[in-house]
Formats: sequence, C-alpha cells, structure tokens
Amino acid sequence: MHAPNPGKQGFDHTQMPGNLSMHVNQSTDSDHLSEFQFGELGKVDHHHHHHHHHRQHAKNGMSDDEEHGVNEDATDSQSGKGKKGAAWQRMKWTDSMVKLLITAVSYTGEDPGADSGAGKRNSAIMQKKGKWKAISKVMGERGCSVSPQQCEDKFNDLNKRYKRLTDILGRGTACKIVENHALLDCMSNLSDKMKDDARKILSSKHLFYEEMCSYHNNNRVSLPEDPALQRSLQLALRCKDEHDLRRGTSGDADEDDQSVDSDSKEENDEEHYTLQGDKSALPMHKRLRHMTDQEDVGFGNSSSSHGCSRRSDSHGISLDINKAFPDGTNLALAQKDLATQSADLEEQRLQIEVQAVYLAKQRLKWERFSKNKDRELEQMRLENEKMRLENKRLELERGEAEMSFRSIVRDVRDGFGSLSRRGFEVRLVGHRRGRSHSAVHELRDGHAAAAAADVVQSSCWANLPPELLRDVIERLEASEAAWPSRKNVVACAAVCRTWRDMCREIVKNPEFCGKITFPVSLKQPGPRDGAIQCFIKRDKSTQTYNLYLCLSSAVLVESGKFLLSAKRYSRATCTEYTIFMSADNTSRSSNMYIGKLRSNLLGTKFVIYDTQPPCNTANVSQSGKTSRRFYSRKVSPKNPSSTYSIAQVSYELNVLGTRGPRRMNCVMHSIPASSLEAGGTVPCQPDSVLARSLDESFGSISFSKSSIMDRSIRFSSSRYSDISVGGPMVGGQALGDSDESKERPLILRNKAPRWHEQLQCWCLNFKGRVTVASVKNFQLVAATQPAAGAPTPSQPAPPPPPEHDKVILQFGKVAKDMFTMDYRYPLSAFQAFAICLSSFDTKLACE
Amino acid sequence: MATGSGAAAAAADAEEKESGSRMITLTSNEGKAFVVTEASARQSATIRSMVDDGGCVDKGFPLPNVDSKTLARVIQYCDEHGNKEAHTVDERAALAKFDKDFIAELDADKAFLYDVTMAANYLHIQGLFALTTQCIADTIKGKTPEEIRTAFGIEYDLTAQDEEEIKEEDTHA
Repeated sequence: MHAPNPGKQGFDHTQMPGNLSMHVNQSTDSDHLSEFQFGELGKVDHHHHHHHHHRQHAKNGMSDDEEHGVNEDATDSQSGKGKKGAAWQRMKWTDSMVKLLITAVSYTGEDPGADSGAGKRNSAIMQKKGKWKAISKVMGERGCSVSPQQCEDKFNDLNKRYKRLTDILGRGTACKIVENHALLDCMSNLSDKMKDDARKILSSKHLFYEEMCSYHNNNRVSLPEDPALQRSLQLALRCKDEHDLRRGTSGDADEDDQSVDSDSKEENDEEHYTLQGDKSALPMHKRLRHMTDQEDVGFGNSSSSHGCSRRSDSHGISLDINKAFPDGTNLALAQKDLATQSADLEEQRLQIEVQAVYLAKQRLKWERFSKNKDRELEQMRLENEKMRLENKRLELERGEAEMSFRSIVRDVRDGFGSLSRRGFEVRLVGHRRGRSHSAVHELRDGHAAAAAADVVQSSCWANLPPELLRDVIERLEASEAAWPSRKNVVACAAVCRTWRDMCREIVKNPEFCGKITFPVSLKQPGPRDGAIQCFIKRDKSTQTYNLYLCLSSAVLVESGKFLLSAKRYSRATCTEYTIFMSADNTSRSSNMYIGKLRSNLLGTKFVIYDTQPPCNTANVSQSGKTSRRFYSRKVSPKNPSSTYSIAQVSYELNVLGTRGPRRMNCVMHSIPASSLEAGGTVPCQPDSVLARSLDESFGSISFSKSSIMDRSIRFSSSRYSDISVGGPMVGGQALGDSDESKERPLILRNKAPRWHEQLQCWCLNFKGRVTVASVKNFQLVAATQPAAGAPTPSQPAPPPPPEHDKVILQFGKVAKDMFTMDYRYPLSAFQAFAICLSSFDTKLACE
Repeated sequence: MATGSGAAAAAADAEEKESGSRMITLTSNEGKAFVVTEASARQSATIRSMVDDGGCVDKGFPLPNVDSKTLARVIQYCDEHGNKEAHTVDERAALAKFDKDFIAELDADKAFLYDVTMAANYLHIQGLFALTTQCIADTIKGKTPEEIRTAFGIEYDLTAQDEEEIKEEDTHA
C-alpha cells in the first residue's frame, strides 16, 4: 500500500496524510491520529507565518496525546518569558489570599469536571503559564503580590490535598468529615494508615476544602461572588492572547524546556533541516514515528545506513522519507528499501499465519477430544438415568401390588361399614368386626402392609392412612356432638382432598347419628331414634322466618345454630315462602336458594318445591353405598329456577267448620310409605343441599303410576343388592312387600287433639316442648290407613310398625314469634320447615 | 373399651404366667435389635398373635417399616404398660401421668408423632394408638382448615368445586 507513495514526487499534503494514516493505523490508535491530523492541519492553515513555531508545539501536544492549545502554549511561553525578569520575593499566604486565589482560578473558565486524566494534566501544562500570569496580575491588583509560580504552586498544593482527601474519604463523606473531624474515627472501612493520612491532611493549615470542592464542582457555594475579579481576570487573559498574536515566532524555545523532552528538541532541529514549505511532512513524520516506535527497531536501523539520519533511534524511516522526497535522488533507494521491508513484513506475516494455523489445528484436536469425552459422559449419565427409572418402576410395581392388597382390605371394611349403616341395630358389632377383620388380614401379610405404609409415609399427614384418619375423625366426631364445636369436623373436611373424602364418608347422616353436620344434612332424613329439636323465630316486620337448631334442651332459647331461613311473599293469587340456606342472602337467584312453599288462592293447600329432583336417577342406578358418598357429583350449570314438587300439604275443615282444630294432610311425594316399615329407607338422598346436577330433565314430577313404579323397582333392586351383600337379617320383610306398597307416598296427618274439659281447650301432649296454645300447633304422624283407592292386596295384616305411632313432626308456639319444631325420620329439616311454614299461613283459623 | 382392655390385660397376665419371662427381639428397619420382655411385646396385638401362633420367637421379629428411633419410643411405652402393674389407684395414676408426659413430648414433634402413630397402628398397640389419635384429634380441635394444614404441613389440593362447597359449608357452620 505504501509502495506507490515514494514514487509520487509531487504529491500534495491532502493525499499524503490520508495514505499514511491508513498504514499507521495498524499500530496506533486511529482516533487519536485522525484527531491530531485534523487539528494540526487546521492550525497550519491559519498560521502560516509562524508555522515553525507551531510545529514545535504540535510535537509537544503530540507527545501528550492531544492537539490542544497551540495558541495557549504560545502565549504562555511568551508571557512567561516576558515577566521573567521581575523580582518576586518570598511571601506568606494568608487565608484571604488563598480564597482570592481559588476564586480567581475558578474564574479562569477551566472546567475541572469535564476534563480528566491526561487531558486535564495537559491543559494544565498548556494553560498554566498564561493563566497563572493573569491570576498573579489580578491578585496584584488586589494588593497581594504573588508570582505566577507561587500561585501555581499554592494552587497545586491545595489541589493535591483536596484530591488526596477525596480519594481517601470519598466525595460525599469528605465534606462531612471536614466539617467534623471526629467523624473520621467512625469510619470503619478505612485502614489506620489511611486514617492517619486523612488526619494529617485535615490538620494542615490551608486546607480550604470547601472552596476547592466548589471549584471542582463548578458551583459557588463556598466561593464569594466577585464579578469585578472575574472581569479583570478576563481582561488580563484576553490581553495576553492579543499580545501573543502580535508577537512573532522565534526565540521562545527556552520556555518549553521543562515540558519538551530532549528528543523533541532534536526533532526541532531536524525539522529546520527539512523543507519549510512541506506542510504535510510533519504529520506524516509523526505518524511514522509512532509506528516505528512500537513496531520494529531494526527497521529504523536499516534506514540509518543511508547516512541521512544522525540518530540511531527508530525515527529512521521517517527521516528517510522526509529526505527522499525533497531531493528525489534517493528515491530508488528508498523504494528498494521499502520493498525489502515489505518483503520482511510479509515473511513475518506468513510465519505468524503458519503459527496460527498450527494453533488452530491443535485447538480442533483438543475440541474433538473433549467432545468425545463429553459424549462418553452423556452416555454414562443416560445409562444411570435408565437404571434409576427401572428401579423406580420396580418400586412402583411393588407399591401397586401392595396398594391393591390394601384396597381389598379397605373394601372388605367398607362392606361392613355400609352394612352397619343399613342395619343400625347391628352397627356396633359390624364395625368392630370390620376392624378386627382387616387387622387379621394385615397380620397375615404383614410385610406387604408394612411396605405399603412405607410408601404412604413419604407424603405424611396429607395421606394419612384411611384407617388412621378414620379413627382420628371418629374421635373428633364422638367428642363434638353439639354445635358450635362441630365446626371442627367441618374444618377437617376442608383441609385437603383425602381428608375431605374421609370426613364425608365417616360423618353419618342425621338419620343415624342424630346430628346435623354438613349443610346436606338439611335435606337428609332426621334421626330414626329421637327427634332433632329446632326452633323457628318469626320476624313479622321483615316477613322472615329463621330455623335454628336448639343447642340446649330449654324451650326458650335465644341462641341456636342457624339452619334455614324463609321469606314470605304475598302475591296476587298465592302466598310464597322462599327458603334459603343463608340468613343474609335471600335472593332467588342466589346460590343459597334451596326451595319454596306456595299456597293456593284460598290458602288451604300448599305445595313444597325443591330445587333438586326428588330422586336422582344417576345415584339410584348405583349401589346404596356410593350414593351416600360424595364424589359421584356431576358438574353442571346451576338452574335455580327449576323446581320439583316434593310434597303437598292440605288443610281441611273439621266437622265444626271454622271452629275447632284443623285437619292436616301431607302427601310426601318424595318419601315412600315403605320408608317407615321395618328396614325401609328413604331413597335417593341428595348429595348436596343445593341444586347441582340438573342435567336429567326431570321437569316437574307427575305422579303417574308408571313413574313411581319405575323408581320403586329400581329402589328395590338396588336395595336388594345391598342386602345380599350386607347380610340376610336386614329388611327381610320389606323384600316380601309388593311394589304396590312401596310406590305409595308417605302420608302424614295431624294427631287429633282431644278436648280437655277442665282447661276448656283442645290439648295435645307436646311433652313440654310447646307452652303456648295456638291454632298453629300440630303433631304429625304417619297415616296408618293406606290412602283411599290404593289397595294393599299383598299385605296380609302386618302388625302396625311402631314408627306409625311416633310423632314425626311437631310444631308449637312457645312465645311471641317463637316456635319449636322437632322432626325425625323420614322427614328432612327442609321438609319439616316447609310444612311448619304452611301452618303460619293457613287461613282456616279457629278461635 | 375399658372393660375390653381389662379383659385383655387379664388374658395377658395368664399368658405371662405360662410363658414366664421370655425375652423377645424386635428388629427395626435399620437392622437394630431391641430386646424386650414378652409382657412388653404383648402390648402389640401383631406380635402377640405371632407369639401365640408359635414358632419364630427365637428368631425375633423384623419390623420393616419401623425405624429405630420410633421403635425405641414405642418400646418405652410398651415397657411401661406391659411390665408394670396397674391394679391400685396409685399405679393407674402413675401410668396416666406417664401417658400424659409421653404424648406431650410427641405433640411437640408432629413428624415423630406421625411415625409413632403409624407404628402403633401397624403393631396394633391399642393403648398407644388411642393415645396418639386422640392427640391428633385434640390438635385439630378449634382450628380452622388453614390452621390444620399449617399444623400438619398439608398442602392445599382442593378443587374449585370443593372450594365452593366448603364455602357453603363454612357460611352455614
């Protein structure tokens, strides 16, 4: 690339630097160079008349990596010399003088924050002479006669201390410590030595840290505002500039001695030697010097053989070129020289390339090797993984076998469990047997059970073995008969899946335990032995009726467990009571709506509607056991508006007309009459108190014979299978009954009161649960006679079951707006509540 | 239950007279052997039936799902209940106090309580099983579901549908 250059005799200065700079870029910083070149050329163009002088200073700039301040340099050298003769005696700096000095320096316009490192240093060198001159002059005007050198020294000293302190303490903390020296001892992050240093600086007389801080941060917080000083300083500086420009070129080299090294001095001479008009020679020379400095000393030596250079240093090549062009005679030599040099370079390049190729080969080899190793490792890892998985599989297989064994054990137990539910008189025995039975099983195969327990243990409490959880919850259940502590059982059911399933399985229906635990209990039959005692509170102002569970046997209680709420609506043709599970949320569209009671126009007949169908076919088709469990639930969009008539309540006049007690007649469509017979059950108990699975299009159930037949056949079949599993002693007679007897709905009638002569009123024995006489009071018993028109051919005079004497529902007044409601099997709380509500509304009242 | 355990104790007494004071070795799943009196071992229905079935008394009983720490604790209970008389009021009071202290210690360490409960269940030590399950039941009492989960370190795994039902139960409870 540089080969053709020597051949060009008269190349101009614009072309030359361009070519050469490209060459030089290989070894030096290109940014720096182009910057230099630019500034240099501009200056040269402007100051033709003393270009020699410029060149010299340019060199200084060059050595300090900056093109900055040719003018400044010139001024300071000139002015420095001009005042040299003046006598400055030794003086003492006072505080005010130092302050003045810093203020003056701050006005010189130098930006201490912007330039840093070499730039700052350089600018200080370039500017200091002129600056300090001006400052000295201004200070003189203020009556402080100090030399520029003294100013400079003093300021540098201040600066040094400031810097050192800032370095040690950090910018922010330094200020605080200057204000309060004691803080220094608190700084734990400093070594003792550093602390000593800092202390020394702090104790020095002229620290002026705040002023220096202001100076360095370009603010005037701690420096006095002094426009007069600023003006005079500017004046002094400008005056210097003009003076400098007027001055000529020569004779100022002496001033540069301190900043220019001997080498550049030599060059100075050397440039005298070159052609004055060759402006381009200077930058080219510089660049080449840089290149050769770094690259090759031998290069320079070879050129020195031409005898053109007086030095043996690396500047040879640049000298060579400088001389070659002017005289033209050495051109061929130079060309040849360059050619050999380029050949040498080429050779070196090739050698390096060879080396690079060799290295690359080595690297590739290594990479191949390491890749192979990696692959081997990966293979081993995969094998390990495979073995691990295989182990896991075997372990799981084993676990599975054990689990299936356990499930068999559990099924056996569950069989006993469901048996015990059916035949409650053998419940205890059956349960005991289930337990001991499983115990025997586990003993027989102790190892398998043990290992299975191992698997379970890993996830600990969440997967508490069923028998264990069962025991715990049974304990909880047994100890918590009454609300509000029955909450514990409900809480248990909300812990996690397994606990929930277990709780809902263990907690028995109120039919068997006589306790209401989950809301679903409200639609399940009441207990077979003994009644659930509740009370109803009426609020006439809001037309609401709340049903509570009695928590004590007292008749008049203020507190109870809330069960249901009803709200009365008077409509044009009827009265309607909507029944909710919540006392607060009584809107038909709310998910707490569970049913309603509606009267006819006269208020003599009432129909009870449920949001759930009276019989869930899906559950009926399954065995009795699963229908009691809670996970066979379908998810379907709720449809609260759909209602199913489940019962009808009618009031009849008695023979005395409106005088005397009413006669009540309740036809419970959802409860078969057989439910009261020995072994009878209420079929199709709901999973949930709220309507959930309505996908079966039941519509409103019409009680045609066929539909009842249909269902009862299914009941009997499901029951049959249960019984055959559970044991032959349960419900033997019930099986003998024909479908006819079972299809009949249960009919309830009120017990006829007898006239009490002494008290002159109609009386019923409420056993102390009713204390206020009211027409609303009633006791319902099952109608012993089958409904009219329903013959019972295959019932050859069965002894009337004891259930038929029992009061299934009794309702009576105990105080103003307070009524008791005691219900039992087969009615549910919801049904009982609805029937009682009808009593509130009847218009057939007697005096 | 009180009469049942009394009968069992009487039967155990009869057995004891018959078999004298044989020693029985129980081995934990870590292979550590524990030598206990037969009366003590008979607290466990599992071991009792194996002893009564005859045979393997000399070889000892490996208990593959009971670790040493748990087994040591269980044996502590069995020794107390198997080797000591409980006829007088004082003796019964002493046993009751032992039970109280025993369960109080376990109550503090739920993980260990689990292990002991599992071991009692596996070995069919009726008294211990009743003690531990009652302790668990007592822990549950008066807690919200969240508190129960925290007490036993159970993860919440209920579905949205469950949640809805629980909310309904909760508002009703």
